Amino acid sequence: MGRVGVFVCTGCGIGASLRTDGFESLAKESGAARLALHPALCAPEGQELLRQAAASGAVDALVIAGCSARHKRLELSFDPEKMPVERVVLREQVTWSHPAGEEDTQMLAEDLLRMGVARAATMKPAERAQETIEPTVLVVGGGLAGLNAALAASGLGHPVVLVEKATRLGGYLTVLKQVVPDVPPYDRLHANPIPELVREIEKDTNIRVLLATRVKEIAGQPGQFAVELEGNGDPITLKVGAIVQATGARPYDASRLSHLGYGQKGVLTTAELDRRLADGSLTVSGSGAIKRVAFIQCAGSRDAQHLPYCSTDCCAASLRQVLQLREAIPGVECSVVFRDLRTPGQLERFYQAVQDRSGVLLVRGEVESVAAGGDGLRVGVSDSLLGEAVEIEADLVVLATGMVPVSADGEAIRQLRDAKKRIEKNESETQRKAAEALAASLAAHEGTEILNLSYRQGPDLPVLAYGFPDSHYICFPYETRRTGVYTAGCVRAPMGWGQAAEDGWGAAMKAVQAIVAARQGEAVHPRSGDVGFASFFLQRCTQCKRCTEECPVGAIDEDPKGTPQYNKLRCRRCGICLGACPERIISYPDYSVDGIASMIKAIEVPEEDEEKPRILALLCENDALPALDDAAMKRTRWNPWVRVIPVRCLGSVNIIWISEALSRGIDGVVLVGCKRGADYQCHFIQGSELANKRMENLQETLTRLSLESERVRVVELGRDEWDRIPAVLDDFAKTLDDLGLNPLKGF
Amino acid sequence: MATRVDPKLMLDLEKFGAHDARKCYQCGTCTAVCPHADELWSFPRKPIQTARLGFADRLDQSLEPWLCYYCGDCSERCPRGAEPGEMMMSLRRWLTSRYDITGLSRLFYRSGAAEVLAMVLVGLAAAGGFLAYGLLSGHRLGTYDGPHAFLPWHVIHRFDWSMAGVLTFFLAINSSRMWWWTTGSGPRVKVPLSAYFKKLPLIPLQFFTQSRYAACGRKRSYLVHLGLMLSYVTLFVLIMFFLHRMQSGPAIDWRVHGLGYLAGLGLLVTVIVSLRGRATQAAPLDRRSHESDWIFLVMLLLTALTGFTQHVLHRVGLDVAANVAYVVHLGFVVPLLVLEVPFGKWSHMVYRPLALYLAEVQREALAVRGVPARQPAELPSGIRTPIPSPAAAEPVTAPPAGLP
Repeated sequence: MGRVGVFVCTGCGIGASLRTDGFESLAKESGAARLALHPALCAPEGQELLRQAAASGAVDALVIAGCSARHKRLELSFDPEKMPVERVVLREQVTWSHPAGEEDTQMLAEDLLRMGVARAATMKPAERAQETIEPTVLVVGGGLAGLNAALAASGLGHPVVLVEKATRLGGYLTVLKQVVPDVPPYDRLHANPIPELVREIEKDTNIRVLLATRVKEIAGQPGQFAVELEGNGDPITLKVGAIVQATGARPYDASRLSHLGYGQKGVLTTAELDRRLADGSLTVSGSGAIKRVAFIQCAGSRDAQHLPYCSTDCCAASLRQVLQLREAIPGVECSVVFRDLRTPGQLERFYQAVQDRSGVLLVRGEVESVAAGGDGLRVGVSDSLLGEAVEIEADLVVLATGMVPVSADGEAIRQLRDAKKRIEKNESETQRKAAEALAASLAAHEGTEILNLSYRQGPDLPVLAYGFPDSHYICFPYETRRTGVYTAGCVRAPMGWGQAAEDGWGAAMKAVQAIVAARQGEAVHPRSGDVGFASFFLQRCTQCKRCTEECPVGAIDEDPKGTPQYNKLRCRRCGICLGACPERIISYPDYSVDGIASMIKAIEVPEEDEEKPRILALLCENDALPALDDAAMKRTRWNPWVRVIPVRCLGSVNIIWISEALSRGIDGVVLVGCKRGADYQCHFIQGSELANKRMENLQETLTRLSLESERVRVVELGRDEWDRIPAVLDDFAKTLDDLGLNPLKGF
Repeated sequence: MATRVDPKLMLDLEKFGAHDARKCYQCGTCTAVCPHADELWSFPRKPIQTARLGFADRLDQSLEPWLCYYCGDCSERCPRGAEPGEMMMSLRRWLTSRYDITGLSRLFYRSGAAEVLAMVLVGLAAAGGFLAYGLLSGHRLGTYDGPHAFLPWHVIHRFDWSMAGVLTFFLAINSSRMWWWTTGSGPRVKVPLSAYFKKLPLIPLQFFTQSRYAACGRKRSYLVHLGLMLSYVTLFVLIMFFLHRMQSGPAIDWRVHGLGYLAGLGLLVTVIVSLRGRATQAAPLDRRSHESDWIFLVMLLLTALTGFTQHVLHRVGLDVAANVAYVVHLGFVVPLLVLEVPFGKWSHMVYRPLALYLAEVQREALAVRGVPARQPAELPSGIRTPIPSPAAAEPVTAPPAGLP
């Protein structure tokens, strides 16, 4: 039990809204070693007061009661290795959101102080990791994004190893003579940027290029990845600090597009036309001269039967091909059939420039049929601008197919590996046969792993919707669910070359950040700068594997017996393992089962006859808590019976906290987390899902305590939904009011 | 049956002046701002798309281009600079050439040089012919009026009427083609005879007042256009019916001469205003001028100037000079009439009132036949999400009373 110094700031109206004369005795009763009031702790004088207290050796932890921890971060921060700090939020959660001078307001402030002292007493100084960190960045994939990533990382002073499976650099773009414009006036094609980039790469002595090479295995953790590469010669092993995966996309499988005529003579895909334009085989093919070309946009895209999404680049690619064809074949008539011509950003100008030329016809509508007819092909279109059926004759039909990220096979690869394991185990005849059938059906995926991570959770990056390996595309582009591995280019999201180049730079900078953070023993996003690591009290571990399974970033592997093996540099400190562990053996220096539980214990629960219910609100620090701050800043009022405890992620909520609260007579617990589902906003991917699952498991406990299941509620709240907070809290209070007070009060 | 797309039509239309319509991205702003577009006759967006897809037959059947007076509001508002007003103008030129069975119209619109050449040839032939007549008939060049005039009025008169007969013949044939394609063959609705009768007054009304042009909201353009047309018609009537009085002398018949001076002055002023407008490109209507526009106005100007000159010379007693000027005048006026009226820009004097009439005839026919002005749009199967109309969202008819 540490000695706690409590410092209450009375600025920003806090002093005027509360009676502070009782704080001295309150602090003493809570076990604090010292209490001081100050009119502005963030001012130099106040900072000096805090610094002296920290340096005095008389306290082991500080409670700073004032504004939200999201404010005055620099002024009120201390070295976490020496002085843990707990911020009690009087300004936002009391002064700005509750009427001054009222009894309920005073009780709220006093509870928050007690809770802060209780938690601070459990906090321990963190131990910063001191590891040897390799500065090299591994770039997998030598396309446009990969080349840019390599140049960017090298430019930031990091050695780079660039691995490309093909025998030359450049990726898809290699076949193109020209590309769509990315500089003003955006109305003509540009020279392909790849040769220039390759020259720069070759000149850069900091970049080691390995062609015809694949990744055989990646083990370890950020700053210390052990990589094994295989190519033509001897296997290469090296250490790298972070990885950029820029492995691109492949065109959608056109053999599934027979309804658009694929398979018929004269029907090509965008990629096929690019190849034929490159090797000059277009003009000599087929029955005669090509005079009319029809492009079909969204071929297998934005279509529930095929790719449901827009690949954003196919429209620009077709317009590029229109210009290339008109140069290659003078007088060729080009029609482009589109649903919506999507040329994002300045490419709008390129589209307009192409539209302005004669001999180019843009037809808005749906393709109904592609069939042989006349002396070529006939494309039946329902024109949506005149509202009728039209027919376009063409000698060549080009299907603008979308992009499929190469990571999309990840799930199939994982299943194949599972099936093989089951075959090896040979548990029963039927199981083995089922596994063998599955393995046979997935045989095409054998050996298609990209990164070959030797992680418990699979060899490649986990993917989200449509097979893209993103982790949180709203807030953190380039991030994946594997710390230290970043994606760039079309594997991350469908994009054109201009964006892919930028992507390479973005991912490289993330990779460099990860290396620097590892060197400083700090977490990467979203808890950047956090130096605490999880510690496992393994003597009590029951090898239930929940922590290893639920860790969203694959930080925890396990030994053959199932004992967790923590790779601390992979850890992003979300605390989901802490919430998962039924034995409660996982804790962080400043965030532990005991710490939160002692806060709950510090809440004073009034007797039944006082008719003052108490509500515990566990708020996600990433979205719900900032939203609450916003609500307070706008002087929104909410229920004064609510006691807020921030949690790192809703997934880090251990159900012991809920049963502790309810058995202490607290009337209800509301958990407010990020949005979940397909468009989730959880920084740790599944926090809200896990919380819901755990609360379902809690129902048994509630029944045992003869409590109604409505006393626990999980709510999803977006970062911008500050205005919903009063309704969320008041509505829950109303439900509890209808249920009546918790019968366990006073036990 | 799906209609075949023909991208070549746009290349053809470019020759008629549609240089920017390719830029159109079909937002429909033009149709929204046009005071004349309605549900039945919707333009310019739709005709532009019809043209881009190359549906020439569909354009033959359309009256829309004639319902536009080119106020230029659409071109001003067009976010893409696709000049929808110019497209409508180009379609009028193109349609004129489609109606024309001789093919001359097409030749002249596609080639300004060919038109000028034809003008020069016809002009020289006319001037030469009249000069030869005067010299061969033994009349003296110094005699301007009277039965022994160098060019006696009854000769000119006979020539005028025979020329008018030929021109009427061509215009009648071309107009009947317009009627048949747009209305007679019933592309939209079968028109009962009664509708033709009922709307007949529209033709003189629109011809003489151009009241629809007034609705465009460009008063100046409207007045210039009306003034030019009325001046011309007045002169035409005077020449066709009162030539003997105009050419008689020496006394001035103010009933005829007064009107003639007024109309001649009106023509001169409106032509000069129009030319100046096109030269300075002040109004949107004047921004894009086709070769045919220039040729037409310049010919009108020269005709008016030479007409005045010969008259003034005669009045001041310089009859030799007056007769020479008269021959020159005829060298301008004959090609202007022979080429512009049936095959050129001037044909719209007939086509536009006729189109306005036929458009209303069709509207009447649709009303008689009980066809709603616009068929409820049947969406092609490929369009997956029709925009719900408020009417579709809520059932319009309440259940009959008395039912549970």
